[in-house]
Amino acid sequence: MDIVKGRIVKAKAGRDKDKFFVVVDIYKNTAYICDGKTRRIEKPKRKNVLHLAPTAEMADEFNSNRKIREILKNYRGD
Amino acid sequence: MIVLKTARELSLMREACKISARALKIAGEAVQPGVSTLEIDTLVRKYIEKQGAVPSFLGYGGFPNSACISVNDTVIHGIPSKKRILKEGDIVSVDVGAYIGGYHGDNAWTFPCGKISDEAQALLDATRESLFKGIEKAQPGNRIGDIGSAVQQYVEERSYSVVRDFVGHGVGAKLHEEPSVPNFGTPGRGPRLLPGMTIAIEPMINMGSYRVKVLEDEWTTVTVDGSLSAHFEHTIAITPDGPKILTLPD
Repeated sequence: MDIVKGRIVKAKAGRDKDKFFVVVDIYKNTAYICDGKTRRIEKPKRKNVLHLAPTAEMADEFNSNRKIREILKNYRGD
Repeated sequence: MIVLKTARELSLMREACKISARALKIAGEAVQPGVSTLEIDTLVRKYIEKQGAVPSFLGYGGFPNSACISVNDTVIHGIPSKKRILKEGDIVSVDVGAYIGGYHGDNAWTFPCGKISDEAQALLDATRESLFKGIEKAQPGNRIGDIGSAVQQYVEERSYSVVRDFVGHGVGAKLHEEPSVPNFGTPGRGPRLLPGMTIAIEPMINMGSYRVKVLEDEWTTVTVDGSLSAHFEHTIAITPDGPKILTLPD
């Protein structure tokens, strides 16, 4: 189970901890994540891969903020 | 459609189930007074990730954590929280699954926290035993209804009730597959059990009424009358020689 483009992940550290995101890009140990709201496609949040918990789900389309929000709609952060 | 697994797929499932079982064991050892349910969830998540797997529940339908931890009158789907501190006398159901190699495992156990009352212990014993009574019936050629009716009969003889709103399920490449495996029913009814089927049998048994309700957080499910509830689950494979429990730690 990998952190790859499209994987839905949960942030383990940072002020966005415990929220769900889509990985929109990844290079070595650095992933870029978006939630379509506070972290939009135009400016993804950079995250160390060690600070992301992967889920078993993938997003199939994540090329717009609206699509990302739609995908993450049911994902709760506590 | 009920998916039958090949020998290769069964061995992949066994891997996922082994990790699920070990994660559950770790959770059980962590159940102590003073521990928060979030701490247990974190232990489970870290263990599963260390094996190169992913917690099946994390993000599933939006569930925010890796394990469902349900205390006392919470039946299932309790959300781990640092505010929920376990105390002596609690009964704690932990439900956890791991996803690796393309397959899921799913198992659950209700653990006593410290010393519990005799009634609570009796509920745990009966629920656990009903799971094994159900598993005994999971022979090829039998039907789904044979499993549920065995569970139901065992616990109702002891004046407990079977939760109706939630049921067991097939397990495989998806966490929930066909068929549904209710914990109640009529013998001889329902889909036929065939070798290659992998199902999760999970009796949820209440001390009082079978009625349950889901709280406003849309997950936590509690008994309507506030009575205690226990939950035990194994993922089993139907083989020509009978049922084989896949969710064993070794």
